[in-house]
Amino acid sequence: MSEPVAVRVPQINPNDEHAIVVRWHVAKGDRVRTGQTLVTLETTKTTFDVDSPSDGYAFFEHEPNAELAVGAPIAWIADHDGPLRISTPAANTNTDAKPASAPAERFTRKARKLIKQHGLAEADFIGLEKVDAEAVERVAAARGTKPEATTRVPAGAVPLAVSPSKMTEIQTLKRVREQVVPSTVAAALKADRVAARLKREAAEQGPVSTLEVALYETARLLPEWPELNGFYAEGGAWTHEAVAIGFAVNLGRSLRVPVVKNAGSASLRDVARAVRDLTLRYMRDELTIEDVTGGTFTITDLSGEGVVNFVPVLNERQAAILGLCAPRGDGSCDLVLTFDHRLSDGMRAARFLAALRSRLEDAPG
Amino acid sequence: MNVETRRHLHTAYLVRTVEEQLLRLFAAGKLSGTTHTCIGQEMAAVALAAALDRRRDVVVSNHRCHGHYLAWTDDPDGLLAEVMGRATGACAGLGGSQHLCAPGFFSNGIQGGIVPVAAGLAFAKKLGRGGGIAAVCIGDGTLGEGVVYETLNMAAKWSLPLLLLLENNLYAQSTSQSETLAGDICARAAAFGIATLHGDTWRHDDLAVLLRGAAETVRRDCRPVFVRVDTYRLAAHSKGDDDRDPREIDVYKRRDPLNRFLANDDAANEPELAAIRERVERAIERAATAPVLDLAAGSNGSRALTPLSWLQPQPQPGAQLAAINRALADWLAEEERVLLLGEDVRSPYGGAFKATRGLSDGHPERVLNTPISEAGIVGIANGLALGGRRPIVEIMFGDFLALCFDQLLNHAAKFRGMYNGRVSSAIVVRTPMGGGRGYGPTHSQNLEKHLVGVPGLRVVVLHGRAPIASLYRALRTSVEPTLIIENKLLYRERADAAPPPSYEVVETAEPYPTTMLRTNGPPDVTVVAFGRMSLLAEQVAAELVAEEVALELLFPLSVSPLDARPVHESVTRTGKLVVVEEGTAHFDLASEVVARALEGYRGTGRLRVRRIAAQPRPIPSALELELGVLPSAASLREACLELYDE
Repeated sequence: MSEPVAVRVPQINPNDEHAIVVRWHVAKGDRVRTGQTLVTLETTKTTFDVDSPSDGYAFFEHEPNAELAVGAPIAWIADHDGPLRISTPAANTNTDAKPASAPAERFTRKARKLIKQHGLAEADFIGLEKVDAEAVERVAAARGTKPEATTRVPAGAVPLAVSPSKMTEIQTLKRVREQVVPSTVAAALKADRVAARLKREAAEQGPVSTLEVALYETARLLPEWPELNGFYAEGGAWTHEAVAIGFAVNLGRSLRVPVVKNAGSASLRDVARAVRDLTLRYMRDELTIEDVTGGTFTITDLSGEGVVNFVPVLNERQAAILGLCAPRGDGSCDLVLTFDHRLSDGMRAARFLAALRSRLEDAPG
Repeated sequence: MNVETRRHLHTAYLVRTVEEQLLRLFAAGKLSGTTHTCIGQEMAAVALAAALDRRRDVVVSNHRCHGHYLAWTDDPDGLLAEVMGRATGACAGLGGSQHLCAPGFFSNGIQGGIVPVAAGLAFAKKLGRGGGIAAVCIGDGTLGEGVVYETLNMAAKWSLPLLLLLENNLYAQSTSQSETLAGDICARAAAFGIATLHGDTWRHDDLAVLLRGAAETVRRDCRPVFVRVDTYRLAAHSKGDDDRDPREIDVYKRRDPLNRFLANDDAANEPELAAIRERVERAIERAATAPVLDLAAGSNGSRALTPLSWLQPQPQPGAQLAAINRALADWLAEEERVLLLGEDVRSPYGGAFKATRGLSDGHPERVLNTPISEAGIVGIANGLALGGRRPIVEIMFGDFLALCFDQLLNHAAKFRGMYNGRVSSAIVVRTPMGGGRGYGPTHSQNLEKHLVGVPGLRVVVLHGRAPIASLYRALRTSVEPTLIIENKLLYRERADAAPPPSYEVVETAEPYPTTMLRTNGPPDVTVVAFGRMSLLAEQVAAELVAEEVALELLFPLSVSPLDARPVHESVTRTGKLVVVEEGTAHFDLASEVVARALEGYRGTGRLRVRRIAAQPRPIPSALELELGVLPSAASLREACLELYDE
């Protein structure tokens, strides 16, 4: 009878330090074969399956919606179906041998302090039996955080739950903010003329949404504004040859940004099909890591929420993000572009918006 | 009038002339402080000095000591310059009127306390086998103090060559003896089996004979003799504070032997009396132009700040109690001067905590059981030290140090300073303190904080890794009194116990080293632990290894004076300081450590501190309650983590 084999949460994306259990495909104690899917996990960007590394009997503890750190054991494959015996890690053994001391904490005091300093959360380490300074530094290094001065919490403040995915997002945004010089410009569309455009398209090839048309037209324009389809790195500006536009979706599940690849060469019909396909996969929790990576530009559409103006927040390693707003009472609706001022400037951005507006609006009459 | 009588009267005239001059100088505002003259009592001092042998005897006097000093030394220059505060004075102006020191002469301004000191000097004379004796001068007012009786008992029991001269001038400062004294004066001494004699200063020839006989008896039989000398003080207690009936004073003025001698108007005396007056005048003139001591130049209190070096401690096998016993045994064997005194210290008992077990077997004449007389024992030890011996006193429970405080504060700690470094006062007082055994409010205290900060008194507090052998090596060359506070619960601890995982033990290369436990990484929090609290500190350090929190533990051995350099070095690294002690909170040892740490703090950011001490209340007897009052490892741990998290 050999030791059970631990199945650990894999690192799918460098920025993800945790995953959420979506559903188990086996029951506890089930006989499984090598390669058989055990569980579906979800990260901030995608869902993925974890397969059994060997034949045996599967054991696990975490129920759906549980969050686990990358590297934490999620299941064990034993070569027998009796009660599972797992060796206690050395750190725990030491503590057990010293009954005088307090019961072993999962987090060392130093780890807790570092978590605070790095702006991480204990939830970032779910599934690790023992979290020490080294573990925290590892996660911190992966996220590129620096220790920060802790903000004093005034009396009377009540803590709000911050999910691991939100923590990841916070880290990403903080990084962006540290490096990027963001700037925002806006232009007003005439809602009735956009509606006319949509009506015309619907007549020609079936119904399309503002988002789909905006994505299609942006893809057409970006080759002329390569700096908005680029990024700033290593002290210089870069642009992507391809145009791949992500669109933010947040329909009750967590925020995802699936990407329409080859948007630059796709027809409006193809773009519309891709958007719908990705949205459906989002609803079904079927987005793959490929679906959500590789974007060169992002569009975020809050028009459905009745938002008439907002400032979109830049994504990491992108130069610009376009926001779509709902019509105001006067029949105008805003196009908002946030861009990295290191790559572009207000005039260039304004001209981009003007060009996009003329492409979205049908001429009157 | 025979030659000796004339000589005595001339000496008395010198005393009176000096004191009258002092009163004039005070009246003229040329002297500060106060003085206590013996005008009218001089013949007692003169007769005493005449009865003793200056080459081998010693005199201990009190606040009213000018006559004794002058009769013994014939040194008006030394006395006048001293009272006038000059560097040429007997004690360079440090002692003043009441605190004089000369070869074979000591005076102190504390009354009863000088009696055991004199008994200790007598003990040293006895041990020296040179036939010397000690004399102590007290007044009738001194009889109100209990340590006198402790000493009468021990002096009689141990057959000490001690001549007790009681000058009975009928008043304790302003209060008549009739208000304060019960029973008979001589009966007090007689109750201890001490021979008593009775004389007076008006029949001074008889007094000289009486005292000579008394001194001979003391010397020959090596036992104490008590002499009551009736006399009368013609001047005020000090300067102008005299409420006695002037008619009473007048009666005694007319009886005064010196007044009667001067009234005889014997022309043959005049040249000599004039010479005495002239001598005193010149002495005052010399003193007036003499320099005042430069304390800064003579200071030995400061020392160059040298970087600390840290060494591996010497191995110390066995429990602390055994190490103490071994150190005492070694010292007794190496130095004939060493004596060990205490209650129940001899075999077979070997002390309440067995620190002196077996020591009297090897040195029966130098390991002595004492009566329950803590003040008297320490006082006798003080006298032994002045007499060149190295006494070690065991006080059974540290709580009883309260009874010895006068001897520690006003005698042991003062001698070197007020006698301008002319003496050694190297007594060692060992005593266990601390709770945790349910001994209750008066047998469990840690009274360190009441005893530290006394200039001239070193206070050593043993911790769990105290280097006992090094300590006793340092004590061998010490010339100052040392109080060693042991701890009942540390006796069974071993200095060579394994340190907490990943910690190493080092100590400063000082005579009284500070022990440090450190990890090889950067420390997070400095913990200064006194006494038994070192055990708690080590326990917490071990617990916090699992939390990846590194403490730097400092265990000072000498608490007063305190070497603050290790604390400075450590808090510069950590910026966080916890001080833990077993004594009660507030006005505690930590106050000093924190203040010193702040004074020398060179770290970045604010120095953050916590203090852990016993609750400020009497130590409860019930063990459960006691443990709740004493500092716990949990409270120390919490304080460390609080600071760590900040």
